[in-house]
Amino acid sequence: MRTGEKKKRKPRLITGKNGELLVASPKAWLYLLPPLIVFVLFVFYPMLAVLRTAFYEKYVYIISKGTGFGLASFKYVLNDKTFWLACKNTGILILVALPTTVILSLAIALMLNSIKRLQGFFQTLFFTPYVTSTVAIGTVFYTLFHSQHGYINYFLGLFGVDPVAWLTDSSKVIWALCIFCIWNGLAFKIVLFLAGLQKIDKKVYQAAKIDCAKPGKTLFRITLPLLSPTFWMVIIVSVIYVARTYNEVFALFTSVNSQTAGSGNCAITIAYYIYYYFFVRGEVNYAAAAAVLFLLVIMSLTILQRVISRKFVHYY
Amino acid sequence: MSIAMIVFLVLSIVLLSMGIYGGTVQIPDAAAVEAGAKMPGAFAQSVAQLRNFYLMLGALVLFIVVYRFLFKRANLKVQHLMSTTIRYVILIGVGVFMVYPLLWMVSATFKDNNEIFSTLSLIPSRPTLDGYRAAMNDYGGDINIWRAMLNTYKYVLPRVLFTVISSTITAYGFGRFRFRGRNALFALLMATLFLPQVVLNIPQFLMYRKFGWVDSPYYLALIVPSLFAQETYFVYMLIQFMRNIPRELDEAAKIDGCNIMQTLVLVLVPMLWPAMVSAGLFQFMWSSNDFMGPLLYVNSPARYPATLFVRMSMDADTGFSWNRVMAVSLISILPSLVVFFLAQSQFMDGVTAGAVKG
Amino acid sequence: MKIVLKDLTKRFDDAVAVDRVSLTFEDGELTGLLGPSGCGKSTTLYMLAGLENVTEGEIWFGEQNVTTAMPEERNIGLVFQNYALYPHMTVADNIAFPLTNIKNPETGKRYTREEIREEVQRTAKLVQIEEYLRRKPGQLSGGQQQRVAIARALVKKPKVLLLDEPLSNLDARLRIEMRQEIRRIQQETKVTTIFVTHDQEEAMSITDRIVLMKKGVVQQIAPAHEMYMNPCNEFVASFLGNPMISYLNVRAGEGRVALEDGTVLPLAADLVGSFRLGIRPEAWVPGDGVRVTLTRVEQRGQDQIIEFALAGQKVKAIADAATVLRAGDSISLSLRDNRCYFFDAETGARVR
Repeated sequence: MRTGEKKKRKPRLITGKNGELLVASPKAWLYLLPPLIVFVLFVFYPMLAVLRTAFYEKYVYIISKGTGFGLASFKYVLNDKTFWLACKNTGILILVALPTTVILSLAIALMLNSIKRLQGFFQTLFFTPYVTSTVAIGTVFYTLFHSQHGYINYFLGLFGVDPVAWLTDSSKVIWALCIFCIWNGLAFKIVLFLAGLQKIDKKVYQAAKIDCAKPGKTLFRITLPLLSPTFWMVIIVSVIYVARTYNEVFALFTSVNSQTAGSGNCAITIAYYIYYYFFVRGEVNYAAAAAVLFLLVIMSLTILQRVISRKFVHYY
Repeated sequence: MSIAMIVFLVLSIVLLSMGIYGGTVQIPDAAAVEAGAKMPGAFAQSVAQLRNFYLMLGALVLFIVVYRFLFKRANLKVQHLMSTTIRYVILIGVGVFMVYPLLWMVSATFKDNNEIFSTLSLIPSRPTLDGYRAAMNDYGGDINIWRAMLNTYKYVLPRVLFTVISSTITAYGFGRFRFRGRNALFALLMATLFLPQVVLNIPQFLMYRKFGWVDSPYYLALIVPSLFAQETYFVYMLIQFMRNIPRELDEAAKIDGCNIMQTLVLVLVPMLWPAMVSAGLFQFMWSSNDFMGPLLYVNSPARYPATLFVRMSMDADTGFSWNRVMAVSLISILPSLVVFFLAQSQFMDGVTAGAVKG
Repeated sequence: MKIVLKDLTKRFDDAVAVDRVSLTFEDGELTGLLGPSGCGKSTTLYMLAGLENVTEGEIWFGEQNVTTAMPEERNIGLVFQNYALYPHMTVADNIAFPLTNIKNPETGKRYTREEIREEVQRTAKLVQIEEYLRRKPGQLSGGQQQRVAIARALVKKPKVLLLDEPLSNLDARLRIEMRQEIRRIQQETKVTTIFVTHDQEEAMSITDRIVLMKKGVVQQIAPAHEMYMNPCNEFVASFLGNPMISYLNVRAGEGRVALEDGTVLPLAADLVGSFRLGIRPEAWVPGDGVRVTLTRVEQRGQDQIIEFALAGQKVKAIADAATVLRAGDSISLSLRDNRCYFFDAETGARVR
């Protein structure tokens, strides 16, 4: 051991990709180590554990022990009618609720971008649904959807439409869920679209005016293409988000007495299915199998989106 | 007038007349049908049913025609005024749609129980505080709404604090340093953004159960992950913000004798402060509204946070004092709403910064 | 296309940005709108373009009153300061864009694809950007982007070409090259062109006439040479010329001109009274007039800028580079009176 000063290792300075000066410091590992360990512990290991659990043949909840190795869980899940119902419901949400929300929020953001005063006021107003917890607002929607006394049925009655049993008729529950998801989803997307719109150089619109472009032409040939990176990002984020619909189901359909999503689980979504099998029925291996399938779908969707974005998004 | 306008005009006249005419068609009731009364044509019957709908549609199309007519005749200033007014009207309409459930909730808290379902107006005819009084009831022992609110903040506040701190440190590590494997690690981190929480919940729950964190009085299962930057969204957002801070500041700090940690705290944090505040606000909101987490990891009703309490109050007696449920819901979201209104701009900045590229 | 502005005025709330400006731009001329920032030149340009509303006054394009016409009805081309190209379109699409919105004036119908391609080629050749037709604006340099902007403005053969500080985003050498290009393009197409700048050298080098504005009021309209030689007031005299003109407070009488401290200047004048005398740097010549001690000398290669004081006021002059001068040197100077101007001490208007 030397006596005297401690020899401090000077951090190396290297040149980064853009020519900037960076610190190549092994010390960085030290700062990242805690979250990294935890990351491995809380994310990576659970991922593997899920995979493992999915392949169990039998699982005993109380002692957290599984036995066997095979595709029995997957077989069960793929043969389960409820699972396919969950897929169908989630699919409807993605194919109906999502495009509606995106188009509506885009239109609203375009309109918001075109007014000068009160933009901030409206922005705050439109963002409010995001701030309220889904469960709390769910109680309100529960009353609004009520078959006899709900406001929505009253509103439809003004047009001569018969009252719809939103929450009890199993063929109608998915639409109630759609409406609720649309309402919930508008807020965040409006703000995102508005931000993307405001990043477009205003002079480009003036140039279009000089170039004799009509408002419709400006919208489709200039505004929307310039917005496409934002648009794409919104879609990616939203698909992932909608695929995980869970709180809405809980808010509208379940009760402490019966933990099913509506009578006979008619309003179930994939996320809820996983929860149901895991927490309510304790059949963890089935839940894990469903989770693995779900994950595969999400990953393929993400990859698909990557491929499509290369074709359609105008990066500049 | 152009062809399109003429078509629209004709369409509106047709719709309006269907609406008006439809009212005079008699729909035979069931008895009459059985007695053999001839049903009016199916078309007329459906018309009669949708009469109001046609009336409104016709009025709308007529309005569009009239608007375009006036618009073309007007000079520049009036045109601008007209289009701006329409836009404001539509935006106000959208605003009402968005805010309506909230307004409904507020008004319902002041209504009598049966009034909630019988009238549809937003103003209660006999305002009463029954809802709130009932909300204050407890379920025996310590389970009341105040306790639930307190429970919420018992884990929300630590979570916010830890998230901000850990995310900043992690973002600092990724944003300012080059080291082996950085890119791979970063890609991994981003990949978890897309990971659905449900999938991880299963093994995490089992793991936490082994640790004994489930139903912990300190809400350990909810707080500990945030100590270690588990919310990748915030790490990502902070890295984006950090990109905008010139690296020369780091170098200047180094020249002035700061070590790595001091650089972070004394130089970067003050510049990163708005982003950190945004992250904190968002985490505050997400955590107070978080339902799934507490559902999994909090079992005893005495420890229920607000979201679970709302659930519980809804089921507890199916006799349904809805005004109580509404009151409880409203109270549970009130803090989030207040924080939001006080810090609107930070919220908006946080959303846009983390999300929009470049 | 001859352009006439009649009492053109623009008010923003209380501030008057453009104050009763009346101008005529002749057909085929290249005119510079020159002035310091905030003088109203850009506002005037934008009112000409139709992007700003006119508070009072009229704008005539030829026989047509276009004061309230929309930009798309005015058949103009505008080059923005930051070019405002459509970033997601290729150069060819950028240039073609105006043609997709208007009708072909010869056939009266919409442009066909061939016609568009032809026109784009022709215009690209004019601005010398043909090799870059397939690229996107983000891949071009500043000068190239500007050429594309000019091409886009010219492709629909407008009656008027407007440019808003087109050269201020370019580096010094490119600026000189590009302003010649603008001049060349304007000569070839003979389109009436107005461009806004704050750089007097730019304005002087390529324009047919300069309109100098200050705080919304036109100070002088003249070709560059005349404006330099015959400024109508102090502001005009100060604005043109580099190094700037120097001012001395003088008293004139009995055919002589003297400074405040009594020194007589080698200048003949038949005025009486107190004036501000403006002396161009090149007005000083070696000779028998006043003896001065140099306080500073800057070498410029082709000449030297020397500074000295007269009656406590700083004077800048240009001296020939033949003999190297140094600070502290004492030299004798005389004046050429055709580069000296007398201004009223209060109003700044030119007296002689």
